[in-house]
Amino acid sequence: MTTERSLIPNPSLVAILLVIRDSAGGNLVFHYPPQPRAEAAHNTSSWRIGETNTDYTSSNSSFSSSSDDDDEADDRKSRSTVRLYGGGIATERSVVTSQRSRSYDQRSSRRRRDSDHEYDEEEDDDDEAGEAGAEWEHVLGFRHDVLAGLLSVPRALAKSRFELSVDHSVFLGYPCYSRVDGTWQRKKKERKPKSEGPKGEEEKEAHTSDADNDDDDAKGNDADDEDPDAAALSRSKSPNPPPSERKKIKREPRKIDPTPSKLAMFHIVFVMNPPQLEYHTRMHDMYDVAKQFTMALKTQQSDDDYVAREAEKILEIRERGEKRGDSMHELWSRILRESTLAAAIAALYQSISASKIAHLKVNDFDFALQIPIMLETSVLPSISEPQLPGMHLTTLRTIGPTPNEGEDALMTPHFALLFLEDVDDIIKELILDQDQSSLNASFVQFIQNCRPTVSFAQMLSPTPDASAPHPENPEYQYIEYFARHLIYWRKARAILPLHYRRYYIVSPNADMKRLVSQSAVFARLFPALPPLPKMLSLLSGKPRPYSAYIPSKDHRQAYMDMLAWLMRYGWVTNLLTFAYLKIPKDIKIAVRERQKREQAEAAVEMIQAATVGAAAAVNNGNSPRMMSTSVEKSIANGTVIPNASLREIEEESKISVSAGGDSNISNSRPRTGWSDVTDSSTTAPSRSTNPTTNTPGTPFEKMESSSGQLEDSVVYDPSRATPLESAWIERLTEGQPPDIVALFDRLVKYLDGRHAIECIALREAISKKELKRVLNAMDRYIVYARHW
Amino acid sequence: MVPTSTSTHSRQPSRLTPFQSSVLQNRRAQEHHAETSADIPGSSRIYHWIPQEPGKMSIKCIFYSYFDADKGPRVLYQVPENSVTPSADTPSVPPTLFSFDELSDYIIPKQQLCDRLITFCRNRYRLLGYPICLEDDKYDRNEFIFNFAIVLDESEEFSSYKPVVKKLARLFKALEEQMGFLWNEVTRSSVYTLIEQVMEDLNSYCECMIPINESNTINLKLFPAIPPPPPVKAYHVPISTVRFESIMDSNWDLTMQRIIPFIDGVNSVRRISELADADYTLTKKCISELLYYGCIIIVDVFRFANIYAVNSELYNFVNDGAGSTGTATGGGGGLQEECQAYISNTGRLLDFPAILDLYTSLRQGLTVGEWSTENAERLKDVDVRRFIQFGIIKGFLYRVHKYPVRIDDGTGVVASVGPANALAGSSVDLHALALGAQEAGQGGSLVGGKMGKSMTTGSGILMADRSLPLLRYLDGAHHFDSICTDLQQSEKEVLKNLAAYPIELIDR
Repeated sequence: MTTERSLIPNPSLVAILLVIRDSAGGNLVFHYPPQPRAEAAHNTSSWRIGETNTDYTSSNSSFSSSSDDDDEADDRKSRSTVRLYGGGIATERSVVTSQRSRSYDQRSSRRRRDSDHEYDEEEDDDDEAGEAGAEWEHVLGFRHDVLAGLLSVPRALAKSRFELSVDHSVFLGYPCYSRVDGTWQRKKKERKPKSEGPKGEEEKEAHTSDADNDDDDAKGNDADDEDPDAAALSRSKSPNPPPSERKKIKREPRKIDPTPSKLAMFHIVFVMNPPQLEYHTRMHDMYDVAKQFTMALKTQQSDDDYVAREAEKILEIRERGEKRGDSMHELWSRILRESTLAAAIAALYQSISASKIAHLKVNDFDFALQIPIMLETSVLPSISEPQLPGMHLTTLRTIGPTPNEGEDALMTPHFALLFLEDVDDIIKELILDQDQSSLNASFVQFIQNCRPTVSFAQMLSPTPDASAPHPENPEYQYIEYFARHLIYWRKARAILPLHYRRYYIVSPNADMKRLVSQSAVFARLFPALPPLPKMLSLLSGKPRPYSAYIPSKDHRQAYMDMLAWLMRYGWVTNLLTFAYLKIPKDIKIAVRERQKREQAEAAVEMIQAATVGAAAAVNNGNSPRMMSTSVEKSIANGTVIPNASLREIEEESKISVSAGGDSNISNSRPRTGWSDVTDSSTTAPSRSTNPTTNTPGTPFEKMESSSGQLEDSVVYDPSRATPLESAWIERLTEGQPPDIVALFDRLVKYLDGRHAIECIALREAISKKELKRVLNAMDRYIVYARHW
Repeated sequence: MVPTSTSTHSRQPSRLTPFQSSVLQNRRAQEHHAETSADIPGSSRIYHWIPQEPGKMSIKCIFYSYFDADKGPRVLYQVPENSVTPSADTPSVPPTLFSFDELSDYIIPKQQLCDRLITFCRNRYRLLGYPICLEDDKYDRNEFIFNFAIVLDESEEFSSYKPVVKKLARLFKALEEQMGFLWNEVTRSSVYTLIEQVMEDLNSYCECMIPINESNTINLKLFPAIPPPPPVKAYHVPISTVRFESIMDSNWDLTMQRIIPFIDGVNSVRRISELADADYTLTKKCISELLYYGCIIIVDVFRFANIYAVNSELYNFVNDGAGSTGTATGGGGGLQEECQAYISNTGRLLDFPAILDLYTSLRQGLTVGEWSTENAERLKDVDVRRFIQFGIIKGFLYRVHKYPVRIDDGTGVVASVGPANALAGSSVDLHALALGAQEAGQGGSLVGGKMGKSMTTGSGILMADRSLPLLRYLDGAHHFDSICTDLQQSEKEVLKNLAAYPIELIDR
């Protein structure tokens, strides 16, 4: 129910709080932003992706927002509101409010406002509200101390997910307590493999810090430990930044002196306001971030009391500021300057609430966090669904950030990477931050070698008709690994390699609102080519191969570069071809006739079974009703069939079908006559309920059993064809040369409307020519559909 | 309460109580494939709402707790026993759901947190409570804090329980204020039976009505949370999924009563408001309301000049008959039979491969007009409008919209006339602009100055072209449907007015 909606990033993050507990009790040490607005995230239950939400857009041009960080939050709010309902029809403005009020939450919140005012008034605290110094007395409509008490949880609730909601504010976190003796250090671990370099250790420190004193709720990041290289680059569900972001600090193992810390507990609380219908997904996404951040802090806390020191520092600054009578703004900017923890919390808030990747640094430990976003979708949202403008459209199950079941292992080597940022920038980032290990060198090399026109398989062996590398090929594994890493960190997307013979259309999901700004970027990048609107206009007509738009061979490279750019920003999508298998009536008649013949031949040994089957079919209580519907249908179709003869056909077809299925089994799979007999006598007699195959009755079978009429039909899933369907399919190739028959048998499973024809040759490692020959030969039986 | 004609118009559509209840019933009915209009293919994509499965036993526990002056927070009654505190008989057995003592701070909180809905997750259960604090001299510490909490599975969609918890709390608050219901040990003893009944009824029937005394009844009902409707545009065409005449009565909103006769699957929202002589804004509100309750679905304006193409949902249409999806509509069989019947205008049915062939032959760059000429022979029994509409409603066909874009000759950049058209948030009434209102244009440029982050080109053009407000639509963000309904001109007229400008048409 919420899957579609969750395609739209909506972090629903209102604020991040740092709560501690020490000898003096619970204390809300720091919160960011200084004046969180509980309602802000609430309204963005979006109908449209805000442009600012996708990471890669901000890098593209001078047109993107130049607002500085301080008013980012407010600015974002207003912008997203504008875009959500962005139609351009100004009169709609007044309706916007009413539409918002339609949401379930909103309504109840309004009702609440009507009834009880006490707390709501406090929610609107503005700069002018209250006397100086008291600005931070209330946070999110709660008194400071009430909030601190609420969130400094008892020890019994520590080390597990904390989720509390008060009215519309949800507080999410993972409270961490010191050990019972007051220390934070972990027990010395003995199980570290000796082989690991310092890099690996660093990694492990971040990952396994919670392993020995945390319960099962801690997700096993330890899984990465198996391969030190893999661990160094691990991405999924781990607090690791991309290699580009991570700085390896060779830290001397600290002398651990187990002095009890003053800090008893710290709790990073993420205050959220998710739309009710997206509640569970939003909370789930944020919890991953919250826990990873908390774990990173916990490691630092156990290393050198980092959180305790920072909390003390922040409290000191606040105390001083309060004495001086500083404004909240002054105070907060001082805290952010002087405390790295506060700065990290602020950075985390800024990035996560904008659906960006947060690059964080706590106590010299660099890492990155994000809520992963979708980069592509297969379904075009309808007019009444939330819109996803700019999101790439494809039904191809390309490579995701992590290997998953939906992927097609035979296809993955045939995809290519399309970078979503400037390649030079990605490499620059990488080189800046890295020490020159061999792994990074090969990573850089990989990035440099990637072309959107070259598949992974072709990268490995640049011959034109390269067969797919073996999945166990270590070189290939590295490629796939790097690719997934880049995809996870939103640097790239996997696509079917671009080719000038393929078809590209203006994506129905293209974000037309960005045309003005992007056309300027386009003009700068491709000054020699036609302007962007012109190009899109060209691509608007009847679909043609891309080569049709390229004026000459010399232009090819420039046009392919442009195509990559258009793909990157979702302006175009690859038009693929899908095929369905059509069974015409004459084939069905032929099959029926042959089966009747075979049935007669088999009658001698099958006589017993056939009688049973036929009798049951005739005795089937449904028969009379079916017949009448068939008559109606035939009349509706305009074919006049005399009643009597129809009856005959009906009876005959029933018998032949019910027995035919079984005889067909005996044809395709050699069996003893005896088992056939038992088969047909133990299974249900009527075709409509025949469970001899696992496939549920297809409509054709329904149609046939209910009317007895043979009509053209479409086979839905040739790979799981019923025996009767198999007989039809077999019949289709009759009279074709044997090589075609063999190939068609191999390819028929792709004619289900789900496999792009463009992928078949690659997947089956046959030549395009061969494929074309088969498809041409069978053209009469194939219905083509073209979409993405 | 019967709304009067004047008040109806000013009311928020969200308060259309009689309407709301009747359409909600309708939504329920649709789940059981009854009462729906046989004529219109109800789109299974629209109905996100899954009704509460009766007998699912969503509520795991209801308990009543209060602050005891001597013993602190404690649970007095819990259904079932031993859920959150060990029962008196077997004090050694730990509670089955979670321990009340661990969470008592959040169930019986400080006074500042009372009268608020508080939820808490523990042990994969979600607790919903609404603590109430009453102040009176008669109580031990001059205050009495109690809470009726409901426990659900953590993964449960809990929004429909929030109002229930709140209502329950408010009801007992009223009872306590009226007659000391909870403080008095005699009346208090009925609480166990009451919460037991509430839990049983809500779990079984999603509603309950339990009389307490002659003036008080526990009246609760779980309402589903329905996603907000999409923004309604002037060029949207509503199609009803219900028979309005059977559910509409005189209590309905007046605008609603006026516009409903014009919802015929052909008229756009703008046109409906004109035909019904109803205010456009109110019309949109009504349409939005109907959409919210699933009484209508929205399609685009059908014209023979439109372009359509199949999309990735086609597979589901073809595969629907296989019975693998639970979304097959209606009692009349699969999607394909539904399609055969819906598109036919003579009663003769096309076989499915022919239909599939026709749908797949619709493509980018080919108007419906051209397409129907190409396929005239096969389409002679087919109502083309219904043919297209079926595909749109079922979601396997999409409309390729045409966007006029004006490019600046020199730079090749899209020439934009001020940012007001790109930013819908501006208060400029574009309709007024279409009539050439000068001051509105000024307003637009002012707004542009304020918001003009994305505005570096075309500001010079703004002044020159104020006379032709049409140009505001040419930044690529507006398709012809939207332009034509806004300006109330035909596509031809619009194109004629644009003849003097370098225009590119983008189909998307």
